[in-house]
Amino acid sequence: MRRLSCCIFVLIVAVTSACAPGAGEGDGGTDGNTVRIGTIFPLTGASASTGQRTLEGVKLAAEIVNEDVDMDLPLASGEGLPNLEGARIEIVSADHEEDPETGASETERLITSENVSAVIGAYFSSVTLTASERAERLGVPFVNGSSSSPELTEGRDLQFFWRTGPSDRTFAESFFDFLDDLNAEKDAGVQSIAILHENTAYGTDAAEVTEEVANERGYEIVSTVPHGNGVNDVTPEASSIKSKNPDAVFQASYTPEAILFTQTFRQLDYVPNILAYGAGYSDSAYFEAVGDAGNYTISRAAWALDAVKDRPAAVEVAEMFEARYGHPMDENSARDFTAALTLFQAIDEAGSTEAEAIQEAMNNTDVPAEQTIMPWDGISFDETGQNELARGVILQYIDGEYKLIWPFEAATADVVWPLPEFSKR
Amino acid sequence: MEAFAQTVVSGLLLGAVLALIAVGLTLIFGVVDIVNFAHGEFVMVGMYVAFFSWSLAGIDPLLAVPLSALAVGLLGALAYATFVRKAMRGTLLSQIFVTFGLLIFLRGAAQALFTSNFRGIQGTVLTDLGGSIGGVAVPGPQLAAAVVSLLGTGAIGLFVWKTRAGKALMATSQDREAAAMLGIDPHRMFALAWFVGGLATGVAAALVAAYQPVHPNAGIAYGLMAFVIVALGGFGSIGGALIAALLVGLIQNIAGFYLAAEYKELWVFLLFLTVILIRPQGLLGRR
Repeated sequence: MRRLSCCIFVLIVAVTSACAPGAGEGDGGTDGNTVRIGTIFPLTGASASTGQRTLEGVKLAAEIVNEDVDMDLPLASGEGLPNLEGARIEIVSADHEEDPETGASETERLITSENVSAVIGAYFSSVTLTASERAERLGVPFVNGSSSSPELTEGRDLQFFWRTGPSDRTFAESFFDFLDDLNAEKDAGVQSIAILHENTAYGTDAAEVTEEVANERGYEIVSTVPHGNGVNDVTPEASSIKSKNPDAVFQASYTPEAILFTQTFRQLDYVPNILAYGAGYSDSAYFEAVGDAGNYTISRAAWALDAVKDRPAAVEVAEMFEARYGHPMDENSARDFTAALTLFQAIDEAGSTEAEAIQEAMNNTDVPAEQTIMPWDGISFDETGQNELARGVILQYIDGEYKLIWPFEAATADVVWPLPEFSKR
Repeated sequence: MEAFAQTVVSGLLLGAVLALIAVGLTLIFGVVDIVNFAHGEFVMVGMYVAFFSWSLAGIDPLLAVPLSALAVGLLGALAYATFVRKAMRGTLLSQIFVTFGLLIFLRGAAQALFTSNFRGIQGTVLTDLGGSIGGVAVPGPQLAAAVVSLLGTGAIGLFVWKTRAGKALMATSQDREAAAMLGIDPHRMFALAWFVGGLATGVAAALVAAYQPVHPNAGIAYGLMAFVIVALGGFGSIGGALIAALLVGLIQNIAGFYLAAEYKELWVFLLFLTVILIRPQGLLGRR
């Protein structure tokens, strides 16, 4: 009897949830006059501070659309989305806890129970991978701003996935262009390279693409050191790099390990010439935690205030961000701000929250460079959903701010190479 | 050779700190017979005490050691007096879940109160101290942490083996009823064990805060390692915890350097499983 009632209960739950409103159908996203947009970021766990900053980027984009803001950006003037009778954007945020499985199930929950019209996320490449596949299956657009794994737009053939930011393939090429220039113009003599990377999709894919490009360009890889996340000691990893003493170290790590490595290298009295694949090194929290030891960090970036100072709107957005959230806008927030604004433009262009209409508008996106806050050539997607106009720049953290050091002709500061000792930073 | 010497030095420095953290855990377990799942979070709380002492009052982490120790000690005693004592009257399951609940609560409270931002203590007395001996780096903050931790571990040993209160503690751990009959109040002893265990943990926490990022999840890795060390050394054994911690530090560093660093914890767990197979009571544990 007990078993029978259990079965009935399960059956009822299954049936009612299948019939729940908006389970993948219709334009469930408008409720009165709001457009619901889901976000999926790491809001708890070791990378919670980064997740918070990416979410703040999205929220600021929504605010600029919702309020009448005097700014030279699309949708800034006037309240709401004009083609949807001034509908306001409502952000529904979810937490993936850095876990690909949670990311997928939370994305499903956003779509089926929270009724969102599109999803933005997920910072961790490993989570973006699973979450975007779930969104694809449910036929809802997924837009990514801050995941860089090349795998996301190579060989996946998704119809509802777009990435506004550059992939690490673009970044790796920029890095080696930079090294070529550094060797040619500053006689840096960089030849041997080590790769230090975290061991999920972001880090392993960055390592792979670095190796590929290094081999093409004739650089020698002397060591590849993967590391786990959420560890309390990285001495063996750091000692291993130290023992090989490479001319440059390519590093792809999230914030906690970026901090730990900086502290450990310092304790081992070794100064690696790190070229960082953003992530931890793009996080303003990193610089707060390590203080002066973070000076002269070199990182690839899709955004830096210093690289867009000639765009009034970009400067205004950065100022508004800092005033609103109390810390400076960093690359991660800027990237998801742009992903969000691109999506909002497409929804407005479509004049509808129906998935197919948004899809068509996203595919036809053509935003000129000066209509973005990014140092790119604009936003326009190829058939894989990759923004083919996204560009990478190379920055060095000098006097409390990331400065543009490459391309040399656009640089606002001279590169400091090799990196100075920690005690002299 | 230089590289090998470096791994040994780094391993011992790490092991010494892990030892004091594990001693805190093993003391609570040995006396109270409850596993404190929130032990890693105790470390995290101590790290925050050291961080805020530094950032708000400019107190060097070395001087913040007593503050952090006292704070975590009181946290331990409070946890016992409020929840654990009640849960001990309940089923085994409630005993397990009370400290697990504490873990979730402390981590969540830290994120709510202090945000998930990473904090770091910079420019302390120790930061640029230390140097290298024959190419082997001996960093100041870690050396200080290791030395103080070893002293702390020794002090806990002396307390337990030589003082009246310590002997009463051990008597309670060996036979609760007999000790009670001789006039030793078990609840006071339990509270004392939580307090002293917290004290030890707080000392280590303030020291690691000098060279590691402080955030709500900072204790997780320490909690896990402390459990392995306690099981490896023998539940309730202070000497066992010390030996096991040094072993774990050495293995992590040597295997991490010469074999794959990514799997450095694998070797630790392999050793752990091997010891459990051969000596289920741990290296120095009693059956």
